[in-house]
Parts: sequence; structure tokens; C-alpha cells
Amino acid sequence: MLYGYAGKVLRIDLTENKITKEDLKKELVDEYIGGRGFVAKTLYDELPANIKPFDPENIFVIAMGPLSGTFMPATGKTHFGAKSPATGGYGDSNMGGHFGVEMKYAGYDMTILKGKAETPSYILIENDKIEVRDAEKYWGKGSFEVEEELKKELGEEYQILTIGPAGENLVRFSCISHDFGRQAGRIGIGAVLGSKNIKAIAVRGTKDVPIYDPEALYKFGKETYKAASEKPGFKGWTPEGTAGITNWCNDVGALPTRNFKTSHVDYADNINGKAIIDRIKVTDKGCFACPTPCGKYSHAKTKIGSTYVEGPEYETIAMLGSNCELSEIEEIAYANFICDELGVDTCSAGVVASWAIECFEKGIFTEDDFGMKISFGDLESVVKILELISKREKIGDLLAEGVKIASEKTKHDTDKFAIHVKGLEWTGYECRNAPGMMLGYMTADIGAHHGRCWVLGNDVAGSADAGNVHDLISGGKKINKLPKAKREGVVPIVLDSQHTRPAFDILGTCRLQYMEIGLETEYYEKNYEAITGKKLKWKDLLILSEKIWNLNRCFNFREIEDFGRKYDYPPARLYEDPIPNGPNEGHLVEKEEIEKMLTDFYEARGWDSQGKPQKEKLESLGINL
Amino acid sequence: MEIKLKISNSLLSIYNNLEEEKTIIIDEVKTIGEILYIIGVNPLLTPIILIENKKVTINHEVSKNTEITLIGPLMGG
Amino acid sequence: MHLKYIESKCSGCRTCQLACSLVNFKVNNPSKSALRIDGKFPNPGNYNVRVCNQCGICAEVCPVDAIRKEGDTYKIDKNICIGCMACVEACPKDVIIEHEDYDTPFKCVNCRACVSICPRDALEFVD
Repeated sequence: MLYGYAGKVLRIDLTENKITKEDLKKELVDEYIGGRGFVAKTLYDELPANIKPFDPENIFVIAMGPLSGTFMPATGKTHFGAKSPATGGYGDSNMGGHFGVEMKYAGYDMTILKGKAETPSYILIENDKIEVRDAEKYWGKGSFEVEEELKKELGEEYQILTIGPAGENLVRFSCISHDFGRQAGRIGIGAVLGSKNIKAIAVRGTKDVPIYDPEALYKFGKETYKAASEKPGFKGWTPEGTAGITNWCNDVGALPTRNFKTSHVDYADNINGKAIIDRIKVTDKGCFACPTPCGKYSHAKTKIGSTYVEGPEYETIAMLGSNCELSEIEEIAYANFICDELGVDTCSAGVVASWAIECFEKGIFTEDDFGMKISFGDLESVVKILELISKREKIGDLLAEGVKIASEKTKHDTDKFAIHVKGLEWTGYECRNAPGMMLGYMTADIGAHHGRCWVLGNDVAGSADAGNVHDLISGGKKINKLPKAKREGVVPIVLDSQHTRPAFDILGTCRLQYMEIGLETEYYEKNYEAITGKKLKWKDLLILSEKIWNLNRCFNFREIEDFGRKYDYPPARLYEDPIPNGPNEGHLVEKEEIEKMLTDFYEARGWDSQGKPQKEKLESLGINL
Repeated sequence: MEIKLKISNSLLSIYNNLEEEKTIIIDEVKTIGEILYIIGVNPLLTPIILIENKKVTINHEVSKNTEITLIGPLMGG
Repeated sequence: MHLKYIESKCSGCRTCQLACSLVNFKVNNPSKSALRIDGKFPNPGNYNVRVCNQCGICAEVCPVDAIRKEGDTYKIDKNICIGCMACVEACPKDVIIEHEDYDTPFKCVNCRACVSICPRDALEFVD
């Protein structure tokens, strides 16, 4: 008996219309535990080599962990994986809410879709019952709209994920949406479902999850909730959620602006967490079992329309807000909704839109390309760009390919300011004075993503240390200029972050209670033991993270043609153009410094000069390829 | 005046010589910024400062016994 | 005394349902809980929580007198219950729950595990 696991893997072959259920293998559980571990192993082992992301042979994996759906803070996360439409390499995406939890209660720790349905379809799962149903009437509709209709048709207790028209049209940064505000945003995961003609998955699960010691789980779970409630962040952080760091990011010159050209705005108070609370918030909306709901469900009115939306959270504020120079919270919320409804990732959309606007300003694109003049700071421009992308109309067809392919096709040196790594667009942190963050973005397995490594605090501490503390805070003046951040000691800090973050994706919990709220690892260990009957040492989880990191690197070498060091660089703007304004004016991480950081990183990881994991490293981690 | 400081994990991970709770005595009104200088914490690293669960800035003046919570740099979503 | 939901405080987390299932059934399964959470999305964008207020209508409709009041609490006696589910139909809050694992329905027994765990202080126990 695998305590903590539903016990089954569901496989659906959409081409053959075949549904099979297998026992979850103990070897997989012992070696990879769950969630992100299952995804990494399954993609490596089961994906036929060198297929393309939209080929029917691509697999779409849904995986939960042993803590998913259990009585401890924030166990509602679901992990998805597939060959990445953004990079052609390893791809995964994590989503909050209640979907994966329901899959586990229905009896499935992992679900693998392969093939392609003949016509637009949705999958219905109700405990043992699995059906692939016609979705013709939903095809073309928005994410919220379809979820609302499916809930009316099937019942409110169903948990639903959907793709929008962008996923149907294979936009390379389209997302999966769920529960009126949660997304699996990155890598174009929505387009993988779109390529399989799957519009939605609806699940209802009412089974018990086998728990080794339910009384111990109740006892330790209660202790964990109590411990979380006593942390300073519980009451202090929760009301604004992630938007609470907007002013700080602006003050430390880390807020991306105008396609990562500039780094500081004077309207931060119009787009921060307080603006959300004062001007638009309706409800604190959270995920399964979460005591610190980060979601801010809002109602925003703009001159072009009003909307309900969950958000915006910090990344969206940075990428659709300051990066596109939208300077009012209502406008950002509206653009957020358009992204959610059409089904595109707000981070990538912000990068693509701002790149397009910069190209227009430089005369590379024209009014005809968009059907209107577009500009920074204009909500209608952003909405128009999003609509063209999701329908692949006019220039939207090019933009839908993501900023890497779009800039390669457009030429005119537009790749210099196409802000991505490996084909995945950058997210909400200006890094020209944050070498650790820069290195994290460069070396993340899925492409530029802050979720893989977040060390901005250390970078700022590095610039804080380099300067004179008293000068910076004397007289209570606002900090005007920051010194150059320290370069020493960056690599170990990055490695630590890169190994800590996967732990939560593996277990099936959110990382927020640990990172933002400060819950200690012993709570995860104690609850894990009560649930599974097995002991968990946090350091063993970190070793598994390192293992997965190396496995995914090997996957990228196998799947991305000519993969190697050259894929680990940031775009030229970030090492050629010093920041022109704000607290970090004049700063840059120079190319030579980038080279050195990368070389040191490879060495620390036991990889060769191209970043390929060496045999000794793989053997030490128990990876046999 | 007795100033009790509660320091979050995110700040402790940067200033690893600090403890979770620290008490200092001040004998005149000081701003939060000045109190941070006393304990060696750079305000650049405290995006969220709370008194009675409400956010305050580094210019906020402290004139009586107070408990201040310092939250260090945090990730966006 | 009985449960009460404090309007607009719920964030939809369902921790209450987990606590209820663990205390009353020793399982981790929110579908085996005696309160229900309705999300009102996309509009107006908040949650309503349906809890048993011990109104006693279930006891009135039970054809075999299997539901009896103990102190403030109406309880279903599983040994008398014939599984006709008339109480489920009659409950004005629709919080008497049928589950395929059990022959008899179940309802809130005022254990207050939900009140003590709710991290949003959205539930209280009142007169």
C-alpha cells in the first residue's frame, strides 16, 4: 500500500480512444516521490526522441505529490509537463487551485495524455468513469466562459481546467486556466492541449486518500496551521499578496520597464498592493488548504470596459504593467483578464507585447500590421496585440510564435531586445544589477523563469553591503543610487535556490508558506511521515532536486538541436546597455562577467564547458541513461 | 523605550547573525530607518515593515514601546 | 448553539472540510464533510459557506425517528436510519450529505473542528 498516493496512473490515448489505468509503481515513488519528480522522469523515459511539441506523440502529464490534497497548509498545487512549445526542450508548469487535488481524490496520482482527439473534445473524469466528450460547442470560447458553462452542465463540485482560443491556435505561450483565476502559465502548456484538440478537463473525485496515520496527520496538521498563523507574514503579507513587493522592486531598481529598457517608475503607488486593496479588491481567494490566500479577486473599471479578474499579482503588474507602461491598477487588471480569458501567460504576453511596441516605435512594424497605431502606456494597444495573437491575425501570427522566433524571423537586430532565454520569455525582475538573479534566469531548465531561482534579496544585499549603509539611509531620504552588486558568492546562492524550489513541486505543496511566511521544513517532514509512514529528510529532497535538475539538462541536450552553452545567455540588451535611469542607473552585468559566472556555475554543477552533465555527476546522483 | 523587533525568515536568510527576536532600548524618538541602522539592517532589504499588522515606512517615528516586524525580500508569484 | 458563517471571510480553501472528515471519519476526504462552500464566480466573486444551523427539519421528516436532539445538536442514529435520504431532500441548506461509501447520510454534530481550524476566522459557534 502506497500511503499518501491514490495509487493509479491514468493513460488516455486520444488517437486510439484507449483508456488504461495502471498501478502507480513503487520504484517511481521511491526514486522520484511525486509531482515534478514524476514529470521529469516520465518525460525523459516516455517521450519519443526528437518529436515536435505539437506532434500527437508529445505527451501531456498531470502529476501530484504525496502531500497533495492533505491536511496541511497549501496542498493544492498541480504539476503539468510536456515537451515545451517555447523551447523544444523540457517543459513544466505549476498551477494552484483545486484541480490536482480532485484528480487525486478521483484516484489518479498521474495522468498521461498522448495522441490527438479527432475533433474538439473535453475529458470528463468522475472517480472511475472516464469519458472523452464532444467539445465542439465550446471551441473558440474564452476560459472563464467555458468553465462557467461546464460547471452549470456538470455540477458546481467539478474542478475544471480549460484552454482559451490562444491554446486552440497553438500560441507558444498559451496557458491553462482554472477556477476563475489560476493558471499554469509558462512554456505554452495550453498549446499542448490545443494540439491534442482538448478544450477542457473536468474532474470530480470523492475517494479517500490512504493516510498512514490519520490521527497524527490531524495533530501535526493543526500544529502546522497554528505555526503558520503565528508567523509575521501571516497577517502582514497576506492582504496584498505578491503585489506587496511592487514598491520595493521599484525602489531597488528591479522593476522592468519599457521592454526592459528602463528600470524605475514614478507611478508605483498606482500599481502596487495597496492600490489593489483600495481600488479593486473584492475577495481574498486562495488555493486548496491554503491559510494565506495570495489571490486577490478584483473588479476593475477602465474606459474601455470593466471586468472581474483574480489579480493582478506581482509578475503581471511588472510585465503587463510597468513593462508595457500601463500605469493604473485597473488597466493592468483588465489586461490580466484579457490574457486569462484568451488563455495566454501574462509574463510572456508582457514581453511579446512590449517587444512588438518597441519594433513599431523603431518603424520595423507598421500601423497595417496591427490595424492601429500602438504605443507604450496604452491599454487599447495591449488588448489589440493580445487579440491578434490569440487569433493569429495580421502580425499576431508572428507574435504568437514567441519573442525568440518572432525576432529571428524579423531580423533588424530585434533579437537584441527580445527578452528571453532558450525561447521562454523573461519575467518580472530587472537583472542588470542583480547577478544572482541573472544567472538563475540564464540557467533555468525551462528557460527564463524566476520560479526556478529567486535570489534578488541576496543581490540587493550584495549592493547594499558594497555601499555605505549610513549614507543610504541617513536623514530618512529615499535611496537614490545603488552601488554595483557583489559578484562573489553568487553561484552557491543560486544553486541553493535551484535545489530548494523543486522540493515543493515534488511534494505537491505551495512554496509560499516556507519562503514568504517562514514555515520550517520540520513541518513538511512530520506531515509527510504521518501521511506516508516514511521518514523524509529535507536534505534528501534537495538531492532529488539536484537529480531532477541534471536529468532535465540531459533531456535538453537530447531534444534541442545543438544544445549547449550558447543557450544559457541572456539577450544582448541585458549585457550591452547599462540601465539608463533609477536607483541602478549605469549598472550592467558585462559579458565577461556573465561568461565567468556561467563557467563557475558549470564547474560547481559538475558539468563540462558546454554545460553537459559529466558521467561522474550523473553516476553520483544515480542517473543511468 | 523598549523596541521589540521580530525578524522574518526571509530577512534571517540574508542576515544570518541576527535572531528571530531582538529587543533594543532607545532613549529618544527615532525613525524606523534609524532603528534599522542601529541593528545593522539595510532598509533596502525590508520591503515590508509592520507595526500592529499595518505597513509603515522607514520615515515612521517610534515614540513609545513598540513591536516592529521586519519582513525581508520576497518573491513575486 | 450552532455553526455560523461570517459573510465574505471565506477564501475557498476547504480546510474546514478536511478537518471535518479527519475528525468525524478519520479520513482525508473533503467530500465526507458536513459543510459546503459555494464559489460565486465570476460575479460577484466571493464565497458562501453552508453550515448546519441545527434547525431540526431533518428530524421532523425522518420517517423512523432516527434523528434526535442531544443538547443543541440533532444527530442521526446510524442503527435506526434506514437510508431513505428524506432528510437529505428536506435539509434547507442541503448540508446533509450522502456518500457512496456509506449506507446512511451524515450531518454536522457540532464538533467545531471547522471553527477552530478556519484560518480566515470565517466560522463561529453561536447561540
